[in-house]
Amino acid sequence: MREKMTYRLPAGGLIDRGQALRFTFNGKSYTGYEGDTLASALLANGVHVVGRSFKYHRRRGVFGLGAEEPNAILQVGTGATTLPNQRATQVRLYDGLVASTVNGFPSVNFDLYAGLGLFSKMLSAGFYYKTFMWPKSAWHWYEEKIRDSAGLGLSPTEIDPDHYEHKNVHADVLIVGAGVAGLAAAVAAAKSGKRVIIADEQEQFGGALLSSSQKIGGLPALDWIAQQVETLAACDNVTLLPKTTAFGQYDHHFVAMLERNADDSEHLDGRVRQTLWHVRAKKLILATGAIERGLSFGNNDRPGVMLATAVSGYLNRYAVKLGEHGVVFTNNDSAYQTAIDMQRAGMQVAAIVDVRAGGAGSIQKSVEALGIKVYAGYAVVNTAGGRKGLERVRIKALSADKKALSGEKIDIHCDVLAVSGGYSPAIHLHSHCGGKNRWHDAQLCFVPDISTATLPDDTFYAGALNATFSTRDCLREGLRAGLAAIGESTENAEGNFPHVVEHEVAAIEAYWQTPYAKGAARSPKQFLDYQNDTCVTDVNQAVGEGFESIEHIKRYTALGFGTDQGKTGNINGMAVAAEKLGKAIPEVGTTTFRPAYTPVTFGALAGREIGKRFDPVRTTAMHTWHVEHGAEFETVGQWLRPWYYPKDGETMEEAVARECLAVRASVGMLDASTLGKIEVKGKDAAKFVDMMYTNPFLKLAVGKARYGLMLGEDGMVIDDGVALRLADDHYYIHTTTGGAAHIFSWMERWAQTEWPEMEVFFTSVTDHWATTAVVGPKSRAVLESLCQDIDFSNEAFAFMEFKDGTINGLPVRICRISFSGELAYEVNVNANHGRQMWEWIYEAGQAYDITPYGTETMHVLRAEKGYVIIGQDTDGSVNPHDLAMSWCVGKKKEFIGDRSLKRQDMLRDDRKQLVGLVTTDPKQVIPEGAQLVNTREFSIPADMQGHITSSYYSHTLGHSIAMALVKGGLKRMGETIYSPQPDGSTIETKIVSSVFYDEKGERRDG
Amino acid sequence: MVNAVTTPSTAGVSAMQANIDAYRAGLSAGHSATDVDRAGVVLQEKKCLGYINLRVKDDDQAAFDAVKSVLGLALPALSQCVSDDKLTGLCYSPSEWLVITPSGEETAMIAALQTALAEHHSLVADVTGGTTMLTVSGAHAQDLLEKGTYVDLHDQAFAANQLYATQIAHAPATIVKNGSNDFSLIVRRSFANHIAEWALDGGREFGVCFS
Repeated sequence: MREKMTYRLPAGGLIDRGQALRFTFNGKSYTGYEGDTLASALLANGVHVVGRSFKYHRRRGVFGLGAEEPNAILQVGTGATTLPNQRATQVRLYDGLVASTVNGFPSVNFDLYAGLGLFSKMLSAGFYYKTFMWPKSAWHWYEEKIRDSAGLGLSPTEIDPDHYEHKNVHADVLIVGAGVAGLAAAVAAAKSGKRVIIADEQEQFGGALLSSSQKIGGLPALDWIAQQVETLAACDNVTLLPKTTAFGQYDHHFVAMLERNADDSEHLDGRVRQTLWHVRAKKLILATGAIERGLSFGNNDRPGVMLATAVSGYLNRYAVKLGEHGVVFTNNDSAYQTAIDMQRAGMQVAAIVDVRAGGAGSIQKSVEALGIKVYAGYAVVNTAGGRKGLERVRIKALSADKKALSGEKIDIHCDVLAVSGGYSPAIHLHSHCGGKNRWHDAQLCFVPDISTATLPDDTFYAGALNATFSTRDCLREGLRAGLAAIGESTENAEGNFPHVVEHEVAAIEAYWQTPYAKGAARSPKQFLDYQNDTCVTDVNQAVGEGFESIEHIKRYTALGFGTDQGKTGNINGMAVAAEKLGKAIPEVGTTTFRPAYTPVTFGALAGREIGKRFDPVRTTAMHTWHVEHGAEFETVGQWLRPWYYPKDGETMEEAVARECLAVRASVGMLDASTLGKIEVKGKDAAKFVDMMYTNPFLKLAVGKARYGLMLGEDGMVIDDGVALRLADDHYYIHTTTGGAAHIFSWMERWAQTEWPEMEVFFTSVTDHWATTAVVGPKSRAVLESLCQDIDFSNEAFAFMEFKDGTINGLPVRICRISFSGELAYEVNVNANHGRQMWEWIYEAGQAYDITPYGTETMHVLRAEKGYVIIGQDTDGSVNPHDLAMSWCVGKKKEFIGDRSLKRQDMLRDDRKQLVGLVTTDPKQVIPEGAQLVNTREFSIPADMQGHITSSYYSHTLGHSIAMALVKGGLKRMGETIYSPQPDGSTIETKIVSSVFYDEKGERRDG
Repeated sequence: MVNAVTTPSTAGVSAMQANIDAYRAGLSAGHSATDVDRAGVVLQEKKCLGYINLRVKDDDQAAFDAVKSVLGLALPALSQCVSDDKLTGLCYSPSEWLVITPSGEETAMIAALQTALAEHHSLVADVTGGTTMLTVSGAHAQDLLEKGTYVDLHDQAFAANQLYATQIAHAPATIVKNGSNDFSLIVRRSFANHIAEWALDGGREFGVCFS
């Protein structure tokens, strides 16, 4: 059975009564209208209790109208698209919407934990910290239970099926907030023809005016809004973004905004759900408005207690009659309008309770003319109610200084209490990147200190954000901000100004807590933060226990820690703390504002950078061949490299064994295109390259190649590779696959910042060349069959030389380089022909059963020879001596890192040094990363001797081999050392030279 | 011994073939506009043009003149692009240019540049195999690019014949503006597949066509 919308007014509101929308809440079906929010639809159906509070599990109802909502925090949607912790006040109603409360077990109306409220004296500030710390080790158990009992929604466990996009734009003027000030600013700025973006989090532009019955220039508020929007929409240079929350401001007017593109269904069928906008604005106009605060008094959390702006909003915008009997409790004039709104909607307004002895300004007469009684100098001190919420309020007179209650209590029957404690400007965006705030003594709120904006000359503030609450003044400020942002004079701005009739306003008066004679602790609970159940007593207690900084008080009491970030209660809490500390509010200050203003989904933050688009994937010119030939791939840097090529259901180990043996016995081929390649040219090229490498390059002959090591300024190895000398003034250097981009900028950095006098240019040619390494004793024969214009004999083409020639008419550069110890050549060709060349070599190699192999086999082959891989056998703390590569360090030359390399610490003989290891059991392969100790038996903490950097089973040798960094390892050849394993076993192993195979290098020449 | 084969033409070699094929295979599955007229985004790979990276000092007027004598085209100023009916020159940095030649003409051009610049501090490098071009046009071309790059593409800020050397979808790329909603992306071969995949994905909501 679907319930009727018994609380819906017969007419009015920005809803479409022609479009009924069905939805369910906690399993029960309801109907709302197009234009409703989930909150307004629930209220229209008389759903007063929407959740249970976090700590005490008290019943809570809708409190606010928008982003400030602390109570109506719901789970919305089902399955993969379900979203936790949605503010019902900002969820657009759609047909089929499914919502439920995020806490309250088993249901909101009957909560098993509600009994906790009876023990609430025990649940004071810091309760969790104090109670569950004994025994210390049990905290994890407690934590799990506590989280279960509170809980704030569930994340979907399925993959999000929705589509989220990112959008990067630049604007001359970005206006955040499309209330009266923002709209006025936009219209003023739009005329310039400059690029203007105006964004507002609500479904429609208009801000607070959407609930207003005011007239602007004789037009009803809604008509005035429509007129402004029409004007803006007609401008090509203006982008209008409703449903878009600017949630963070970062340096230099970089503003992040979340647009809710499609929120009209749970199933979007590929339509974009949300877009994350990155806006870079030259000028920023903040017109973010202000958020109404509550007031603290006994049992102020009962369903039916709502912000006055929310009451007016539900009545005027959504045509929801919230109850039958209304009362207003306020310390300022604005809530008087709510009394009028209630009365007009057919509610009986029994009283306006105003803490100010003098009452309100001119609006008081209007109110009294409607027969509404004003209790000036009174306060609500308690509420009473039942399962459905508020039934009556109790009021008492206040002393002149508001420090005491006096007189007789008066009980007033009501089911709606509209409260207003003044307004807190939405200073969040201003504060996100370090803007400071100042206390506005007249309006009792923090406003932006404009001089502290990141770009003070290019940032403008308009409207309620400045504690400017009159519509007329908001218009004026908006117009001025808009003109200033486009560099126009604001002098004559006053002329064309619409007329607005407004009341004379009496000043707001401070009233932060109810002055109970027995004190706050022995009086009914006065909530400051509904979402975290933080009460006046908690703040008092925190101060009593010695907390002084508001940041500490916040963390101790959880004030403002909820998903609402304390938008309605923080200032009240800070004021309570200030009073207890005997300080002024500005001395206590605010806590830090951080993005996001309201929560942002992970889906939007990720956008389309998911799956294969998470990080660019680089592929070589031969990639499609590898795929077609069944290669498994591994990621190296951003490159996808063939890892091994399993044949006929081979395991990785079987494939690698076959590939290794084939290379050693005959010939293999490897796609080596991913190595970084940089051309270095200029009259100082030799000098420059010589500085880059530890070993000498000045005298390298043209046509020859040399292996070199590069160090950082700290003397540690950062890269290695082979450099070719193309001409006297021209080198061609190889970097590691992963190091290419860094080494290229590293070289540019030295050339540009340290040695600008050197004549040297660099160009990256990594992508231009496709490289096929042909490796093994038969490699010469394969290439001889392909290439006629190069003599491949040892005499004509020695190790570490390169030749230019042609294969089938294509120019190639062939280098004799070996990373396996075998006779080997690398064939480089313009990558447009990379796959063709690879196929030719594969075809020519068939005579020798040529075997394509991947990086795993490459690793085994090089480890058999003890060749290091930078980044695997080194970790940024390894110098050339540690690698037993002192032979590679020039004694009579300068190079980057040489001074560091001479430091005493770099020469210690007990540094961790790279050695080989062979296990006693030849079949046992030690896991990479495993630690090493000196003895089989040891106590924890063990005397760690080092760790395994590379480890494989060598089918060529018939036993496992490993490389390890071991303290003083180079002097410990033959020693036994042990590797304890996670399963409790210990692997016995012996330190040996890291050159396991062909120690004399006899295989190099084939 | 493999018999001598005629030098293969490069005309059919694509750096993005894997994704173009996948896109074509997926056409019947919907999501994409199948013809140029209806697509909001039209992608086209300009295959196998010649690309020459050129470095000369920013104050070496004689070198500029020498280059002009070879190209018949003056080197453009920073972040500018110049073209004649054959060649296009792009300026990446105060001392770095890219010259784009018709397919197959790069080798002779490189030799001519090296000869002309022999007496100047210079580096002329063939990057033909490492570079490809993807044109992005259509009513939503700019909308697509704004999904993946941070630079300002708006006509007010980015005029025809200007370029950015930047990133698209976190991959290095050069964006050249040909006109409103008409761009050429110059991308490195190894990233070409990634960028093509990204463009096809991002173009879906506008209707995308790989011509």
